Amino acid sequence: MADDEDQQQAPASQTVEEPLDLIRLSLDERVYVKMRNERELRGRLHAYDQHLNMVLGEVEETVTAVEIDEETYEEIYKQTKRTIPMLFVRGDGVILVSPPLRAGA
Amino acid sequence: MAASSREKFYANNTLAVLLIAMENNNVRVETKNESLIKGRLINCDGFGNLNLINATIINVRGTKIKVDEIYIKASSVRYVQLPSKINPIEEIEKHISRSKQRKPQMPAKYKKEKT
Repeated sequence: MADDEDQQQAPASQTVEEPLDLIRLSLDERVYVKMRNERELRGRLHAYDQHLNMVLGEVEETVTAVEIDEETYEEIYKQTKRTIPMLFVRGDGVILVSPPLRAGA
Repeated sequence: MAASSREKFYANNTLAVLLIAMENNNVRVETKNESLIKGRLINCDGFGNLNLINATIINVRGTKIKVDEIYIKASSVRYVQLPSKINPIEEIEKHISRSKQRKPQMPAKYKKEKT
């Protein structure tokens, strides 16, 4: 990160060598992030680090909750969504990071 | 705040650098126990522990508490909502160039040639 100016800047390796490199391919693209506690994020990935801390822009958070109807005992899934312009996400809550799921893929 | 070599490493090599660059901004911290804390970020360390002032804490039940200062452990943070107008990469680069100016630079003649 804080490289000395005088040292030659080695060109950032564009080969995929480890799983974290797959996330690097999604930088500045929209991503889908599945998190613990039934949360999902969709936003533009601005930055990430080795802990999977991430900075997402224009992100929509979806929280899914299950309610059980007292009489019919059916499971009702309720989703709560909200939008946040710029979000820092702590990595220990992240389960997976992926390109956004496309319908019909 | 801790100044161990581990903390310094984290402060320079993880995304904590962005939180440190955001010092003096108003942020909203969502914690893992579903509390929301709005306040001005005064300090952040390499681990991501936060110090906010003039903070309002809204807990799960909706109760609002105003405090002059609050220390939030990094492990309890779920999200930090940053000011909407910032560009994260620019802020990180500005912060790095500010820290470089403060730190004395090694004179060029002592720098080793890269083989």
